[in-house]
Amino acid sequence: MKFTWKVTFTALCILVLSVSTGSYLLISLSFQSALKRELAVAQEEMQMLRISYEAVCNARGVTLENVNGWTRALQRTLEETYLADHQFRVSTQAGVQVYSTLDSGSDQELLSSIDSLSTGYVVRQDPRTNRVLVHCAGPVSLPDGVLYMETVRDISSLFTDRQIHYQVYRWILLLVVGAGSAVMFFLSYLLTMPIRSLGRVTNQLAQGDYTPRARVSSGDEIGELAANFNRMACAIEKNIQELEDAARRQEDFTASFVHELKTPLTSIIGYADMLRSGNLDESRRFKAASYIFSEGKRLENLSLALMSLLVVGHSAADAKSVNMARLCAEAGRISQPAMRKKGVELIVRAEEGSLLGDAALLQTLILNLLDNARKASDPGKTVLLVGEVLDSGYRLTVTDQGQGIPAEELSKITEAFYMVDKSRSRAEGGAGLGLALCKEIAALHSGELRFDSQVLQGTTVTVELGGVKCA
Amino acid sequence: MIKILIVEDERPIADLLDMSLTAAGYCCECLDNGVAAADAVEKQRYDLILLDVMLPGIDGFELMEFLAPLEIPVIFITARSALKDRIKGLKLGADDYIVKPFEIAELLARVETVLRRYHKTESRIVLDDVVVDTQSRVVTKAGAPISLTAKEYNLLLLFLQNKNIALFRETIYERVWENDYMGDSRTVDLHVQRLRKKLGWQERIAAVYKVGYRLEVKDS
Repeated sequence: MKFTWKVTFTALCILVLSVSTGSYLLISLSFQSALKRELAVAQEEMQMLRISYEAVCNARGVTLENVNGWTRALQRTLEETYLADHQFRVSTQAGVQVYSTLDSGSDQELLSSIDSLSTGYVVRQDPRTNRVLVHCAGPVSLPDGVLYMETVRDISSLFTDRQIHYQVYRWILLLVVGAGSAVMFFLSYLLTMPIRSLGRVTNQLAQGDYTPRARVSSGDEIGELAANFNRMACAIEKNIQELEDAARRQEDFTASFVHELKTPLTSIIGYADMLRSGNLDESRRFKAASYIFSEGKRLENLSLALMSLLVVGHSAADAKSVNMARLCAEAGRISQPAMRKKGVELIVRAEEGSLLGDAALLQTLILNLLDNARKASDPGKTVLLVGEVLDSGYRLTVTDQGQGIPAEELSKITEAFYMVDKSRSRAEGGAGLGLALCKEIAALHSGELRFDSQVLQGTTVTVELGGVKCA
Repeated sequence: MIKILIVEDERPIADLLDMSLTAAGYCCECLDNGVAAADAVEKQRYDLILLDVMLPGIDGFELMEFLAPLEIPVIFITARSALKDRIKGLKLGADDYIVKPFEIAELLARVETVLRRYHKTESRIVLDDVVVDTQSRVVTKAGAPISLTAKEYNLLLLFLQNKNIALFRETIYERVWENDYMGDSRTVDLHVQRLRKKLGWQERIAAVYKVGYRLEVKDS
C-alpha cells in the first residue's frame, strides 16, 4: 500500500473514532440532563397539584369518610381552578378511584411503593402507543387519612429527539468521512510529493543518469534527506566522471601509442619488403633505405622516451642538493649546437641557488623545454632561459618567440603523444612525449608547468620547483 | 590509367604507398590533410582513394562522410585495429579497411579487388599469347581455353599483379591460400610447377634462389 493511502486511512480512522465518540457522548449527556429535567418537572408538577388539591380539600372540610359525597362538588370547584387544566387521578389507598381525568388505570405497583410521607415516580413505555410516560404519585393528606394522587407526563419527545440527533449525527459522520478523506488524501499527497520526486531521481540515478538532482523545498526531515541525497549524487557523479576521464586518458594513450608504434613499423616493413623483392633502381633503393633508417630511429626515440616516462613515473627521485645555476649553464651548453644550427640565439640567465632534487632529471626537464622552444622558433629568434631563487625553491622560465600555442590546445599539450603541429614536430623528430615527461619530473620536484602563450608571439613556460619532498 | 589519391600525413608511408602503387602501374597523387583532399576531389576525378584515419584537421572518418555521396571507392588505411573502428569505417561507406602495418602484396591485392568491384580494371590481362578475363575467370592460350583450379588461377593473378617482383614463398602462400605460412613450401612449389606446365611458362616464371618465384616481363 502506498504511503499516501496509509496516511489517509490512519488519519481517517482517528477522525471517525474521535467524531463518533464525541458525538455519542454529547448526545447521551444532553439526553441524560433533559431526562433529569423532565423528571424533576413532572415531580414538581405533581407536588403543585397535590398541594393545591390538599388546600382545596381542607378548605371544604373534605375528609376520607365523606370524600365520595364531595366528589361531584369538588369536581366543580376544581373545574373553576387551574387544576382543571391538568390531568390527574386521586384514589384511596385501597385503589378506589376518587377523581380522574386520566384515561389509564391506576398503577398499583407505584402506589404500593409510597406511603403517607413520600412521593415516587416510575418511567414506563405504554405498550399500546409506544409513548414513554412518567407516572408520579404522592399523598394528599386529609384530616382523617390519606388520598393518593397520580400524574402522568409524556416524555416521548425526549426519545424522539435523541433519535433525531443520532440520525443527524450519522449524516454528519458520513459527510466528515467523505470530506475528511478527500482533504487527508490531498494533504498526504502534498506531504509525500518530495518523497516521490526523490524516488524518481533515485530511479534515474540507478539507471546510470547522474545529472538529475532532487528538489530541496523545505527544511524538514524530507528536505534534509533530499539535500543529503543530492550531496551523495554529486559525489558519485564526480567519482564516475573521474573514473571515466581516467579510462578515456588510458584509452587515448593506448590508441596514440599503437598509432605511434605502428606508423614507423609500417614504413620499415613496407620498405624492407620492397627492398627484398628487388627490382628497384638506385634512387628508390636509397630512398627506401633512408626511410627504414629514419623510421627505425623514430622507433628508438619513442622507446627511449617511453622508458624515461615509465622510470620517472615509478621511481623515487635520487635527492641531492643541486646547483641550479650550474645545471642551467650545462643544459644551455648542451643545446647550444642545435640552436646555432637552426640560427636561434640562446640566452641563459640563472641566479645562484640550490634545490633538493635529481640533477639528471632536472637536466632532462630543462633540455626538453629548450628543445621545444627551439622547435617552435624560426631562425633569427631568441630563446631565453631564466633561473630565479624563490623563498622556498627555484623558478625556471623558458621564453621563446616562436609559433605559440592556440588557447584551446593548452590543456592538452602535456598529454602523452599530443602534438600541436604534428608534421612540424615529426620533422623535428619528436614523439610527443617531451612535455608529458616534463610534467612528471616537475611533479616529482613538487612543481607544475604553467604555459602562457600567444599564437605567433611566442610561449613562456614557467616551472616553480619546491624540491623533492622527503618522505 | 587508373588514378589513385593517397591521403596520408605520414610522409614515409605516403611515399611507400606511392612507390608500390606506381610500380604496379597506377598513377598516384599524395596529399597530407583532409581539407586539401576534399578540395582535390571536387576538382578532379579519382578512381580510388586511400585514406588514413588519423589526419590533422579533418580526420578520415569525417572526410569519409563528405566522400560517401561522391561514389568514389575508398580504402581506409589505419593503425586503429579495434573492431568498432573497422565497423565504423565500413558503415560510413568505405570499401575496405587495411590495418597498419600491412604488406605491399596485401595492399595491391585489396586495391585490385576494390577496383575490380567497380569495374575500373581492365577485365582482360594479356601477356604474350595468354589472355586472362577477370570477369568470367577464363584463361586462354593462343585462343584455346586452359582449365585451371581456383588456386592456380589466383596464383596466376598474383604473378600478373606483381610483374618483375620476387614473390616470397610465404607471401604467395598467404595471398593464395589465405592462411598463415606454416613453413611448408612444397604446396607452393607444386602449384607453380603445374601453372608453368599448363601455360608453357617455364622460362617466364623464374625461380629465385632461396626466395621464391618471379614473373619476368622484359620490356616493362
